[in-house]
Amino acid sequence: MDLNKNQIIAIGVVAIIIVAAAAILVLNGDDDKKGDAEYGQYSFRLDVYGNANEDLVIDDKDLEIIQDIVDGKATAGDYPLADADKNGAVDSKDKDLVNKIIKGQDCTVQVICLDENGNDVVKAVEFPVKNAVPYGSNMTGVFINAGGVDHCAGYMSKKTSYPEMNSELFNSDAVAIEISRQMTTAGWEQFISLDAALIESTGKGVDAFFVDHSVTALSKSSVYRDDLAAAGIPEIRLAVADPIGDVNAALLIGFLCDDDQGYNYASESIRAFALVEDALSGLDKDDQKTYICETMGCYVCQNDSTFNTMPSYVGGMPYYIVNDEFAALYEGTSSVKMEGPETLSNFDDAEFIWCSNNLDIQTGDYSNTIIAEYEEYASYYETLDNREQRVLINAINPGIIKLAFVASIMYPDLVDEDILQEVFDIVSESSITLDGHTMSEACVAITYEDYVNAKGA
Amino acid sequence: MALLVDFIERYHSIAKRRSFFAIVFFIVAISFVVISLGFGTYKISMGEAFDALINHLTGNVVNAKDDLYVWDVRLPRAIGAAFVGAGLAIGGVVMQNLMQNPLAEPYTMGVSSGAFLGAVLSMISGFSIIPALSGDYAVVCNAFVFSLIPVALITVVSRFKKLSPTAIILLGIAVMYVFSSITQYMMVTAESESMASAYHWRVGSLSKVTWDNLPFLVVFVTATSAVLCACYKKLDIMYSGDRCAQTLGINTTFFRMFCLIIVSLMTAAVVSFTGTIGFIGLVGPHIARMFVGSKNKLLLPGAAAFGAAFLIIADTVAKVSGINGLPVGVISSMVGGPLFLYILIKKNKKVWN
Amino acid sequence: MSENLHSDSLVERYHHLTMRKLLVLVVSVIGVIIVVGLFSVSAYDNISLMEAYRIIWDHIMGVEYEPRTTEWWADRFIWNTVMPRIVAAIVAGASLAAAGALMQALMNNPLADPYSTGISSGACFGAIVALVLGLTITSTSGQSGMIVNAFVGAMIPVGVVILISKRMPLSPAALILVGTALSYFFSSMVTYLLVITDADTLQNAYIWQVGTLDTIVWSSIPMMVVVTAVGSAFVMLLTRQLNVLSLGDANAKTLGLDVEKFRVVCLIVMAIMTASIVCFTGTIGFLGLVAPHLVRILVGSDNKFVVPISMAVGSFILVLADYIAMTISDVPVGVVMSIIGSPIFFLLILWQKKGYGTVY
Repeated sequence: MDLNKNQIIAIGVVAIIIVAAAAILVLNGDDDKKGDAEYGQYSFRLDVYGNANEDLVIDDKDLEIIQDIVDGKATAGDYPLADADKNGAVDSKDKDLVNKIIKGQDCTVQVICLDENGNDVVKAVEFPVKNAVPYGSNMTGVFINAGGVDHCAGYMSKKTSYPEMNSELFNSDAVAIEISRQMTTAGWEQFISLDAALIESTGKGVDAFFVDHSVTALSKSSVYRDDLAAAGIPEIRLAVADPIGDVNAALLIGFLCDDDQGYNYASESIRAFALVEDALSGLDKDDQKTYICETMGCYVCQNDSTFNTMPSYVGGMPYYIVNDEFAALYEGTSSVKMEGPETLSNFDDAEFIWCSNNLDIQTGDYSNTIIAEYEEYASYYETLDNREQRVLINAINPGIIKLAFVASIMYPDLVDEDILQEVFDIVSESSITLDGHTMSEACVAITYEDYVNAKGA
Repeated sequence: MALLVDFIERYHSIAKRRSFFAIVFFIVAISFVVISLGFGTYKISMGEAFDALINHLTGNVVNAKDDLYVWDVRLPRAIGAAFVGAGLAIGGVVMQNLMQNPLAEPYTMGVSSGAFLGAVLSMISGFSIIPALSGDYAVVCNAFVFSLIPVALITVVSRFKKLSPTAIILLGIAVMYVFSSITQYMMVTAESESMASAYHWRVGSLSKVTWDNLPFLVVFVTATSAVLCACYKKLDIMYSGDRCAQTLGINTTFFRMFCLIIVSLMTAAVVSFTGTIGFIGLVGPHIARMFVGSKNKLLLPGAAAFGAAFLIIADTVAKVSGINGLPVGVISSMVGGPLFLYILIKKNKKVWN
Repeated sequence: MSENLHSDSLVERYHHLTMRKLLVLVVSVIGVIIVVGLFSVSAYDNISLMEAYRIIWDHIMGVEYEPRTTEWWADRFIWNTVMPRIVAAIVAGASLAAAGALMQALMNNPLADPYSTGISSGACFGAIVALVLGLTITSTSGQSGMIVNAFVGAMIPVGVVILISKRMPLSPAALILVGTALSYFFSSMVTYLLVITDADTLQNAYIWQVGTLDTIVWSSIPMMVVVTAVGSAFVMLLTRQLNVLSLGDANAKTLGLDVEKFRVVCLIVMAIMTASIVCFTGTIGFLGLVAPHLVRILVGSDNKFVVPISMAVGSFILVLADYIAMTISDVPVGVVMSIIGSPIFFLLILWQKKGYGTVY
């Protein structure tokens, strides 16, 4: 065809613009400006077989991958989660199963969760879950945020577990099974009565028992596990105390209940976390702050405990890495009681001390609570050089919010007030437990400055 | 005549040897107060600790951190250990004389279980006798008040029913069972954190002794011990039996109750700050007796010195054992158990053969 | 005339006493049966007393139900969780009470109980070493490791006491003193272990120490039953010698009883009986102390009657205590036993009547 001069110039200009844009994109997109800081390892993933591309949902993309493997265009080894029905082969049955999942029809899915020793194990669950029972005070919050309340038959928790925060669940029709921290015979009896009642009225009993991994109770008696096995009720243990585990658990529970709330909460949390990560991207290894973690006020967390790993997700450096003596003394996954004020005296060059506490949502002026909480175990720290760097972190909040607070306290220049507020807004709006509450009401962190201000007020 | 002179000479030499031992105990106690300043989790050598002490006393503080730990953390603890050990040992001597029973100790009257109940009420359910107090202060007050309830109960019962020493001991044990059953209920239904704190309290530790509460401890223990030591003659006589004492003009029922109340006050004061450190009241007097003899004039101060030395040494060992130190109650019970067995075997060998 | 009255009232009194013994026995047995039913009812809310008995009977007959129905769960729950607990309560109550009666007769001391020779602290030590350090004798973890450890631990103090008594003859008072010293030693080790561990393990260990029937499963029962049956048969055969022992060591010797050997043999029997219960349930207190006392007040001190009747009464008390423990507040049974037993002990001390085993 014959192009006149104007048309050639137009095409040329468009071509230059396209090339320039591409160049800019290539140069910028590749500029992974992360400093050389070290971070804790994590990944966000929907832990269900059939999620072939290991993202946050099971959708057509997974179907495509399965089809590719069936057709021979891809190898099954590259996609460990492609075998949706876990029969050993990736075939058309997997395709059918994934189809059913996408359409929300009744089927059996294979879920990756934990056994009591913390190792991965696969459990079969009847999808979608209609009568879930969560167990453990850490699990309740996550369960609510995953949208589980509408699919909940009953819940097991201590009577006084944070009524403000868990109000959505406590005010619902779900049966409250009261237990202590350990499983009790009476509590178990209520659980099985619930199952029997559900079978009789609806034909479908309890179909998922969600357990917080840090709870040791079910290990007390093999009878409970035998009962669950005989009835075909899967025990799904999830590590909800860990902030990343919090998000993954909500994603999984939302998926199993076929409720969008879980996916919304998880994806918004991931988006909020990305903001924090971006803000921290320039952090250098030399600027990483060291920290020691404490739980229950006066118990030093050992090196591999869950709480001790938490600040490392946002660029904190666990103290045991820089101090061999501390590493040797505090080997393990649990915690050790402080004997007195001298306990941490050789380690008071740690730049932060994170103490985990538990506070329900506060309303009004709660200065007295702040003072009481901060002073409660202060005698163990009053001789330390770093006593003013002790921060209480409210453990019942959503994990990403905790991480954001920890990051902003450690690196206030990188993660400033605005970013913190934005992260809080994003996560709280997508959650159910914190929706409608302000940052101050959630009382996520109590620093020395907060304590001094509360005393002055 | 020569026999008599010989006998008198031997008596004097034994008496001198015994006084010598008492003085040795005293010197050991004092020196260990200073020696223990060099031990603990905080890294500091003996020399540096000694320097820090001298510096503080002369008003010329060189290293602020050393000064903080040596003077503010370790010294009150060491002095507290001395007084607690002395008080418990004196209490043990008095109890053994009063009850005419070598197995009596200051906790026999149920003081320990009462104090534990008070501490548990405060730590687990937040109940405090004086509502304005909270935290550590509440624990101390609760423990003190509740530890006196068993004694009060026994005193009331003794008004209505004549009680022999054995009866008092048995009643004390019975009251102890009642109190500990209530405590058990609270412990098993509590959160594991509060329950663990309560358990650690009971084991007995000197880490809560600071310059703030040391004066109370010192004054209480000194005052009550002075009262008890003033009765040394009467206590000597009490040991030989009620009848004997009555014929020598002592109103045994009144004297016994009086001394029991004083001992309980002292034990209550000690226990509210430190928790129930065991064995010093039981084993201390026996060991002291082996060196210093049974006459209370020497035994009371001798046992006090021995108790003080024993507890300071035990605390020094406790500070350096385990990962970051152990409560002293663990050490005293580990040492006390075998010591008790040894005393039993040694003392009763002739009885058993 | 007065002679006739006298002999009549003597005969009457004899009948009266025998009736009393029978009454106590019958009341205890009936009490146990009732509480068994109550237990099942309270444990599982949706069934009545009659239904509970029917379910137990049907299970024995081999009836099966549709899975996950009310009946299936009730049957499963009652049979796997409640029944072993009740059977254990009956057996443990009988065994501990019999051991208590035996100890009291052996030591000629109404305040002796099966734990006087240090068995409780030895068992605690074994169990807590398994719980805290994970060191077990059979190298299995979990419940069974703890059970074996506790059993071996319980036998150690008795072994030491017997060894010492072979070297030098021990009076009963000396035996108890040695036992007390050993228990101090073991409990100091227990304290050390509990101080260095974390809060959850501490609470589990404490609950074990207090004594609980929560962890009983069917596999624990056979050993408990066999040892209790054999042990109590053994004790029943020896009641005559026990009666003789109550006259004092010297008198017993003149009546032909080899006191030292007898004591050692009985101690071993008592230790095995107690240890085999305690390793499953933890150290439940007061039963061995209070049950024989109460029985003695009601039926006199003749061991021929005291031993079997205190077994029945002991079972009844423990089953009742477990019922209270589970329904009222889900606490371990040891706590309920303490709360019931300590006031009874206090009153017993306070109201000592001259005659039946006074202490002072």
